[in-house]
Amino acid sequence: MNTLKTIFCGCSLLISLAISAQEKSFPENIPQHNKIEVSTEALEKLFHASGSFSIRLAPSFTLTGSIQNRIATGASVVRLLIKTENLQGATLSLSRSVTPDGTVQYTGHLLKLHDAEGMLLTEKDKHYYFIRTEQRYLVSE
Amino acid sequence: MKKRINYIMLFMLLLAGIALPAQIPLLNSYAPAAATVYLDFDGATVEGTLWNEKGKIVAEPAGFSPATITWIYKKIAAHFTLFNLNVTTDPAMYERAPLHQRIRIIFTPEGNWWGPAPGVSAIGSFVWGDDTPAWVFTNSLSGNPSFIAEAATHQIGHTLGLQHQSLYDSYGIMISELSGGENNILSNEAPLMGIPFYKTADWSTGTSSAGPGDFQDDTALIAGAPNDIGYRKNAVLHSPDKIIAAVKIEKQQAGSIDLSSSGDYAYRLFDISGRLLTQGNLRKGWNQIQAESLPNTVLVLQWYGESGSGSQKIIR
Repeated sequence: MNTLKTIFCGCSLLISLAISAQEKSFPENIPQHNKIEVSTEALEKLFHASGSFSIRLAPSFTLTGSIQNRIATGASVVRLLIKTENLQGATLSLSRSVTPDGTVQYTGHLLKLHDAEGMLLTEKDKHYYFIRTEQRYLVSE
Repeated sequence: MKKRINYIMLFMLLLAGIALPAQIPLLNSYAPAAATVYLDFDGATVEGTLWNEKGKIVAEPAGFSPATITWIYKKIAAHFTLFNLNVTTDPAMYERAPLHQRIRIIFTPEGNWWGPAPGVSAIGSFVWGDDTPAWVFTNSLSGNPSFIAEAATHQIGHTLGLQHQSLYDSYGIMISELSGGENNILSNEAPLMGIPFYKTADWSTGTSSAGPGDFQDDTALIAGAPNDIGYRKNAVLHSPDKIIAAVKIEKQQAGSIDLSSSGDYAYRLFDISGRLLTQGNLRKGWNQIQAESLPNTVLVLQWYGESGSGSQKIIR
């Protein structure tokens, strides 16, 4: 009976350790969703923001932060760097560019350099999504 | 009096030589290609990118001589001879390249803002269209030109969407994220996306850092979507059955091309430093191509089109 108790306690300890280890690998305040759809209208709001702001990008995703940098390269590219206040201080780098066929394209990354995970802005079928991604798939040495 | 003026002029030239940074040789590996990798050796200020978490980055120039830059460029360019891609040291070529098919690699001594590493890049940034650069930190590579060239190629590979080539054991457990090649005394080859420094490095096909079941064919990924670079057509001056194009040199002309094909062809004319002088389209028959240049300089005329491409040096 004592042996069974010991095994049970050991297993419980291992499981709890495994769960806590998993939890630690996720930044606490980065939105805990694998995929968040954001509209181009919401993204455009960011390009028109100034100073400190709070913009709801999706029903479950509000971004509070301040514009650190805005750079326009030629007529077709605008780059935005936003320091967030509600997402563990992660930085959102967002750019809007125009492809040769006139399509407006957005690229973006919400991350803290050297953290385990970040968010990648991706486009599929003309819809944009922030997708939680391991940072080694975003940035590599 | 004349002698004194000469001395003054010589002194001023010497001063200018000291004040100006070392001249960066302007080189192009395959200028007809739209897709462009720009090797930036003369320092840069970077703002507004994902690297700027702590603010503006002022990267010092690499501080290499023109000869060293040329050596590094050649070693990097050699890894891309297969592809329809131009490796250049000319910022003007980078500016002219399509936004969504270009990348800048900054060579700078220190990368303290990132940490101890030979370099860093954002995966797939070649097609982002926002000029996010990649980095090579030359002091971390002991200033060794061979290491610097291979590290730069590795970072270019990341920007083109490649992950590391990794080693796994038979249970699928990662042994090493960076493959150093076969652990075999007879093998002297290593993957560029692994540890490329101590063996002959090349693109390879193998298990990537994404997992033991993920086989990464480096060359296919570089050439394919979303980069859409493709492979370079063989340079064809004379095809077996017909002359695609022939160059005729005349005294007052930079050159002329006799095009026997009615296909869609174009040309570019460079001086020997890689500076683009003129470009245009070709039509069937003789095409005279002119550009202003100094006498006795060497020009390089390139033409390219549906059936192939070619180049010709022209000494005026």
